Amino acid sequence: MQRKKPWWQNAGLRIGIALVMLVLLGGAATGVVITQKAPQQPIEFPHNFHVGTGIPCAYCHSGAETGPVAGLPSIETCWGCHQQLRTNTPRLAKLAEYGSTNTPIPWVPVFIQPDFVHFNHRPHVAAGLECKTCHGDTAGQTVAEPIPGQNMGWCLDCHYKMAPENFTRLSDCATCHY
Amino acid sequence: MAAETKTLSATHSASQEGEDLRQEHLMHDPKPREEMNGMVMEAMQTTSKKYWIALAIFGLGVLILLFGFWGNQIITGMGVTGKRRPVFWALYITTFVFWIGISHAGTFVSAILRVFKAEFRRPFTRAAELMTTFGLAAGALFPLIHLGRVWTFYWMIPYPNARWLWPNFRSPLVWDFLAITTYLLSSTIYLYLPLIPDLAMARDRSTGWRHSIYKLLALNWRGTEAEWHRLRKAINIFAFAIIPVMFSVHTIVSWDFAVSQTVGWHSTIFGPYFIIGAILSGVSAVVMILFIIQSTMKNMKYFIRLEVFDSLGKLVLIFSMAWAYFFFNEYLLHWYGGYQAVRDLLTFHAQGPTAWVWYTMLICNVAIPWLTLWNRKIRRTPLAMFIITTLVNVGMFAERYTIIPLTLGEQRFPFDWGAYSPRLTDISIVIGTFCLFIFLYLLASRLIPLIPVWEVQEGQMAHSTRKLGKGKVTSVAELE
Amino acid sequence: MSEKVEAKKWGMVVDLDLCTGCQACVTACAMENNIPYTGEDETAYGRGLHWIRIQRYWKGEYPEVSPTHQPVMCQQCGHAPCEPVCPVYASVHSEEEQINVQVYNRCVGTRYCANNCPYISRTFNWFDYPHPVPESYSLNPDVTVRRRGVMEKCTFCVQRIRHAVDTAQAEGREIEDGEVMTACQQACPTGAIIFGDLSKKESAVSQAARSQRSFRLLEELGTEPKVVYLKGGGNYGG
Repeated sequence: MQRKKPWWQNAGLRIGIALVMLVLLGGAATGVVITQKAPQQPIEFPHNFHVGTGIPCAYCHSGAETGPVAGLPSIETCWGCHQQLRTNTPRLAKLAEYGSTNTPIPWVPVFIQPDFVHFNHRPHVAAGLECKTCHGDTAGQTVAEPIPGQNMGWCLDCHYKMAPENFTRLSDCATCHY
Repeated sequence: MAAETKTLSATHSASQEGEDLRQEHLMHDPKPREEMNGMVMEAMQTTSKKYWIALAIFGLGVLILLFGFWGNQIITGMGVTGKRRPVFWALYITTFVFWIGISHAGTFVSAILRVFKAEFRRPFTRAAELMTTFGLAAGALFPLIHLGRVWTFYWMIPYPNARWLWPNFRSPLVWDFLAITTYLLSSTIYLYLPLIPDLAMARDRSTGWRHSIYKLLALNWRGTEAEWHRLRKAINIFAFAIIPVMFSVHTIVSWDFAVSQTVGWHSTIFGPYFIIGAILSGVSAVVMILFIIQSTMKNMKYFIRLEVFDSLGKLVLIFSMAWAYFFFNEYLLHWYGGYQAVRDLLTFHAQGPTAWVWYTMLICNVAIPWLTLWNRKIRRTPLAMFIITTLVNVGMFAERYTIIPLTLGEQRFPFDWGAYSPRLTDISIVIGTFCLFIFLYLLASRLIPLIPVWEVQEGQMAHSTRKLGKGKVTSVAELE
Repeated sequence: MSEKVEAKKWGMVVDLDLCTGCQACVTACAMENNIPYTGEDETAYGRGLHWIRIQRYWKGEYPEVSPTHQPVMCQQCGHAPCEPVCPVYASVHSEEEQINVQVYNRCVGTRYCANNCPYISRTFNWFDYPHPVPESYSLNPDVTVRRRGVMEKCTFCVQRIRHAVDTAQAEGREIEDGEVMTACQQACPTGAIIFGDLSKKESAVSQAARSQRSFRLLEELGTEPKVVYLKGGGNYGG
């Protein structure tokens, strides 16, 4: 007499479970990848070229030294230079469109924090931090790319490394959350 | 081979006496093992139409009243319940404490009576342990249900994370979490260990899907001497180990209240007070369940005799007295302490607009058991016992209701006094967890042998009667 | 930058003899801290989210009655009952500012802190409260808009404290007395609320706190509140 296979050795069941697992894992992986990819920008801004010419970051992101938000450049900032510079590439043609009609460029912010995190650029710049410590090496990027895993642990790691003697102050909840 | 002896009155003739003993005690009415096995299997496999209707009704209750309303509460917000400032905890925590209390007695009657070798426990330990596990399952939902943001509940679990944050081990809620998970785990194992031989028994007497389930659960039990030896050892260890766990769990639940600054909660008496209350309501719940089992399931009149109701009735009476002592003690302490806010609160409980809750508590917990349970006739009437123990549970619910919403509403600043009234969602979810408990119990009653046959038989083998002088004595051989 | 900055002890003095119970502080607090309006029925049921409540008590028998007004906000206890009971450190002591902090995004909503607060100064977001269009223009970007299921309470306007501290630090100076003003203090028409650093002897708030009229709420509990009340013996202005 042939022994009946127990239910858990059923091939269909196993394939079904494998499929469900695949869908779940695949979905999770896709989600992770999508959120870590650089978003589509209205103009594919070449950071590498601008940094290469020696323009300081704060020329365009001017709020970083004085306030909480660094800001994204307005059309006046871009057009101020590019009105007089070459306009023969497709990217600059797009810019010219915005510039000539004086419409603000709908930049997509890349380094964003949730509403309940109040990050302030000013003390970080005042403490002598370089932009690339947190924003990566923009000299090698065209559009800005997010840094994966930029979460609370990431902040705390640096706060501890940079100033262990001030860690009580720098790890205070009220420093960022209110 | 030590022997305990119990003398019996020697008024009847010898044969009449033997017949009385047989009728009275299951232990003196032995049946062959095979016959008892068959009776338990039959009880388990018999399902009437009424059973399925009840199962469907309670299943629907779980789906709609519990999960439906809970889902709505998660999506809409905690405001669908009747809570308000200052009554931030209300019916949910009341029912939580109630269920944890209920879940206590399962282990109490099983472990403590096992440790003290109370022989009347043998037929109903399983039923009581099942009550523990399912009561905990229903109760453990409430810490989740009452969370404002239940989707973040795992932050209370200690696990390494990117935020460098651990749970706050100073918080009683974290102790609660650890205590309840420990208790759930240990009481499930304690339920499972004595179940193994019965599962093996069921495995050998069933076919089809039942057979494969029991085969999986019985862990290849064969009944060899070595297996019995290890099982007895394990059960013994667990029976001793689970008693401190059981006491600590309800003490910790009471610390949720006792360590706070809240008027009426800040009391050193709360630990034992809660434990006594828990055992009172739990033993009562055992009686309720035994009555239902005995009157609805087949063959159960043989196993669950009047002696069980009699003995449990005495326990209820004793714990009712102990509870009354603690209740009185609380008033005495606060009268002696003399903190004005507590005095006002206790006066409010007894004389405020919600005094009926307070009187319900006292009448159901003290007056009714004291007036009835001293009477042997009442103790031996299952229906009367069912009604009395139901009332005791109503009283215990009223006690928790007094302690939680009615106390929170009357704190130190009169400006902030406020009354809580439950809304549809509170009531539905509370009823939903009752449905969940009954649903699980109904399912289990047809899936798990409700009577530990091997324990009953072991007891029957150990009991014998001997002539001693004019009377007859029962001698119980101690096994192992 | 290694020198230790001494911990500041923010504190508040509320002069009950000056308080008229006009509720301006309640309104100002709601504007500053994005406190939603829950509506008449909900507030009447006890679900208003005000971080300050003017407790009004009557003195005497009718018709010879006079009201006393007592604004009660979070007392920012030094030894706070709400802190040890939170299972997830959402209610936590700020070592830097010496106040109690409620971390909204950490809160799981057990509401234990609110039960344990003897001042009943905490409020709970029972629902997601909408901020419809004209109202949403007035939201303060420096304060988190809370979602349903979290506790909240008076923060001593910690966003203003942070702003002042950051500014002073960037300019390389100490914070001056009176540089941080809470919203309630700003709005109080009689100047009954004074805010400042209690650890500095010459600050206005610590001078007022040393007054003979000063007392703290429920001092016997040992919570060490940072809010000091002033009340004279007589019936000032009824």
